Amino acid sequence: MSAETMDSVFIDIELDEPAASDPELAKKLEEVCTVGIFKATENGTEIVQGQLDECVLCYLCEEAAPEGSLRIIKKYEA
Amino acid sequence: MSILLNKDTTFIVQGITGREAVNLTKECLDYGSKVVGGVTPGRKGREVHGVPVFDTVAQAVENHGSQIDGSIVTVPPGFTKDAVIEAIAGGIKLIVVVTERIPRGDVAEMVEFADMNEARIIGPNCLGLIVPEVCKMGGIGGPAKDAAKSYKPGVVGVMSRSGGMTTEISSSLTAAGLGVSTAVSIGGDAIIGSTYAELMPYFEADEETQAIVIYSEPGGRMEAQLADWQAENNSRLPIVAFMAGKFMDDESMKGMTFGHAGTIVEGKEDSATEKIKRLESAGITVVERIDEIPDAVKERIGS
Repeated sequence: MSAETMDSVFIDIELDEPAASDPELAKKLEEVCTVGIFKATENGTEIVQGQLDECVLCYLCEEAAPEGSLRIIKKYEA
Repeated sequence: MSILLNKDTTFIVQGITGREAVNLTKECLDYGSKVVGGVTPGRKGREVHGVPVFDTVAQAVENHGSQIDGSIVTVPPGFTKDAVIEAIAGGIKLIVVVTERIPRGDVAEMVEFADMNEARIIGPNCLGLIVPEVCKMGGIGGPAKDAAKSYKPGVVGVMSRSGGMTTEISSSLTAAGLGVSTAVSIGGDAIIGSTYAELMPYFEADEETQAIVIYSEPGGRMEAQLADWQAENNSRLPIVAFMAGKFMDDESMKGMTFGHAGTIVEGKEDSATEKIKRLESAGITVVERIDEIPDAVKERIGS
């Protein structure tokens, strides 16, 4: 699953199946993200695209998800 | 001893012809700092308080004849990323970014670029850093005569997200006879170049520093990172945290936020009460009033 993106957004988030459909993980992601990028639904995790540009690159979501299943994609090149 | 700055540190001011930059240039010069140049595109040949102005960082470096240690970046938000990258490309390793309201993606990019090039960014949205009676880089402490009153040499390293509180805390330490080794205004934005935990190794290596004081407020993860760092590294330095904003945990204050962008977050770990628990569990002393800081530091260092 990949969030739709907007021009001003500097990251994207990819969350693989089956993690994306896991309602427990969805709750966890909603809890750890301090800027509201994840919303828990009965179908799993919804990425709130309007919040993506609020990301503070804390990586708590990557730590909360099963290893390798969630990736923060940086849309800039240093 | 000190961290990041010393009496020989040279730096430039990017955006030096702007009003705030003109003021802070004078403040730094009056305090004894070595401001060796300024950069504003199209203004080469001018001077600001005797400091030569150049069009580019490369020209400033060439004129100086050797590596320049630092740069204060005061250019408008839309140009800050390019200014920082230009400074780093010019071999500068310490960048103080004063500018606020920089797009978050730009900050992320310039912090990553700095990491890749072994440069350190302080800020954005900060007042810089100061080594009492040696030099200051940025508007921290205000005019030299005021900075001289608030900052005396001593044994405490100070780090604060709030620029004003950096001086307020330092002033209380100075008045108590403890003094300050180095004070760093790390910046109030959500993404910054140097966090508390990232600066701790510098203080750890500074023999003069015997304790650390940080300013803390609800929001953000920096205190959690510091607590983790403290627990993992068994630091020789006792830390005292001044925790502001506990009143925000009151039910009637829900939804209210502080002004710093880094505090406008909603995580459960971010409340003052949770932060206090986490800090104390890592052995960090937490006080809730400024006038409690000096005694807490004295108790921790046994003086």
